[in-house]
Amino acid sequence: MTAAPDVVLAHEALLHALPFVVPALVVVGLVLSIVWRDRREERREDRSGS
Amino acid sequence: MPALSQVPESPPAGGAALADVIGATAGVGLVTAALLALAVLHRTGRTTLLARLAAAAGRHTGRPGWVALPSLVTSLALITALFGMLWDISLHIGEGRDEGPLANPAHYFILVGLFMVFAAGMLAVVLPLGDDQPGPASVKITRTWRAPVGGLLIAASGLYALLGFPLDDVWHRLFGQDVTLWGPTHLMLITGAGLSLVGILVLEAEGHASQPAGKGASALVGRFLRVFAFGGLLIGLSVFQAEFDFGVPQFRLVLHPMMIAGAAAFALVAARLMGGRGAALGAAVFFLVLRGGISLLDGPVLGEPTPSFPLYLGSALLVEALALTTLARRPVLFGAVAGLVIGTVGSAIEAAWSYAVMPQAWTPDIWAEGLIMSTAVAVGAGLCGGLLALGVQGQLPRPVVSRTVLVASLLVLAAATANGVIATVPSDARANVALTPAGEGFATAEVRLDPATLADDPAWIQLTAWQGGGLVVDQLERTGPGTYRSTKPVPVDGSWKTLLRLHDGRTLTASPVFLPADAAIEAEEVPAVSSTRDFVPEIELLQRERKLDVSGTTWLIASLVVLLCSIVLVSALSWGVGRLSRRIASAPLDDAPADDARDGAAASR
Repeated sequence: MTAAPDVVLAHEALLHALPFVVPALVVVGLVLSIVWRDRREERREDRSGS
Repeated sequence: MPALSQVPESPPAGGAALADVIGATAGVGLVTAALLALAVLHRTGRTTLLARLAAAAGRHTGRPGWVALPSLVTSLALITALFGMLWDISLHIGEGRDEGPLANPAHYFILVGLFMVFAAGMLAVVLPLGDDQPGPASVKITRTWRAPVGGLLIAASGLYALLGFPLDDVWHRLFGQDVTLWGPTHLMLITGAGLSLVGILVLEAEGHASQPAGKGASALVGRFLRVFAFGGLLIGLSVFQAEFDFGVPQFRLVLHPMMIAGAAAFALVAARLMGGRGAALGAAVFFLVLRGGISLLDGPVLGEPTPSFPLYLGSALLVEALALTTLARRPVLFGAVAGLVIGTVGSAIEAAWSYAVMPQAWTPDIWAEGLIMSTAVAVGAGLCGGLLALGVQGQLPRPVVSRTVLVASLLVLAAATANGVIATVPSDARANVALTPAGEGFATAEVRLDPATLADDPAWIQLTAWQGGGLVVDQLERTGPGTYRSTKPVPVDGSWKTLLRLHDGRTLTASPVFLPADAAIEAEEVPAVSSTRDFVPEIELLQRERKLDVSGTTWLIASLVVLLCSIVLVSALSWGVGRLSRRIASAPLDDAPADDARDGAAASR
């Protein structure tokens, strides 16, 4: 009988999150950063306007 | 904890092949980068590809492109995820545990489907540009960019469902693999996918509100879209029943009618109130066609155990009939009465259906308790269905009324579910099983319960063999006081796990007949010999991979994390529906039928 070849397993939960969850979180982070920068810019313009 | 390890000699009980992780990460990373680039090019006016695709989808549905294209993508995504989920469940029932989160082909369908749900939501967020702005309920991203709230809700539902995957992995490491649909993190996947339909309905209403009067979908197209959405909602809410559909429920049978009545009341009431005459019936037919198709694909085509499904047609007809009365002019009251009728008469029709096609018929043992639970949950679900219909049409009652109804309904659902999951195991009971060989690896059985009074009118007493390459369920035939016999041979060797299962009232227990040795979880073989063995909690036999020695505090904390995520999602959806209702005009939809309940909606508020 031939022994089955070894398969390397990833044992960190973070590795399992990488394929699908991290890209989604990156997108969310990107949108939130755009919101934050725009709000900051808006406040700056309001202050300089007043 | 080591980052990498070698696979043990026996099939592993956790972990993912690193090559799978790298491949999937690279693939999805590339897709995400491409989508992000497309979104940036679209919003900076350097490509019209997305706009042209959206416009084409919009032309065929009469909706704005930022509604039509994301709705189409979400629908495809949900069908993909649904197929993956049902295939995954049948694989677990037929073959047992996974070697890791990416070691099962069905998981890719689930992951891709759920990622597409998230991507579709984000598509709705980035699409509106120039004059084609979303309606008054939209959310400000920047001073020149507003996102439809429906898109945000779809993306949030997709993200919530996706988060279930890494949390599921953490859960497995803490508590071992829970080979049951009703693991808390498994429920996240299903709930996120199912509730994304609420986001679609909100998005669709925003699209309508943003269009000039008279411009929009033709009556027929608009009604079909809404009927399909509610049929999809019915499908999403029905995935919770899957263990019962396959015939290996790990919880008391009273939960089955409760879940069917709740799903029917919520989806069918909202469908009828929003879609007009025939919409509830149409949603039920859509459900039967799609679920029937996937069952055929799952069973005869892929060769896995075939799931049954609820009928819903009886409940749909009841809702349609009720809507012919003046009750339809008072949507909240209509929802409550429809829930009452679905919980009682509708459940009776489903009970007859259970005897005809379901693996676990609803025996008299559960009738009284099942009726109470079904009716209470269905009334709450019907009320929420009425609220959803009003909210999406901009006619939500005062916040104090809406919130009270929603919270009260959720509390009733939680109480009924808690009652349903409470089961007992007899402390001093055993079964004598006499096996007679019946072909290679198969045996028939004569069973004697001790004490003989252990089961007087059982919901089920059966031999179940699973995870050996299929599923065999044999409802035993009573031969005398406390004695039963099998009606067909059951497998008792190889990797099959065969047990005697007993459910009577609150008693939910099992006794092993044959269990293979399993080095990965350090479990010894329970040989298939005639013997007397104790009844034990089912979970010890059905979920051998579970670690039952983990402290209750750890389990409580982990459950609270999942609960917190769920509360955030439900709150977000409620906020979205409330925002939509407050901000859109309450003019009737131009593709709604004349008998629509909105005519008298004000009377109910």
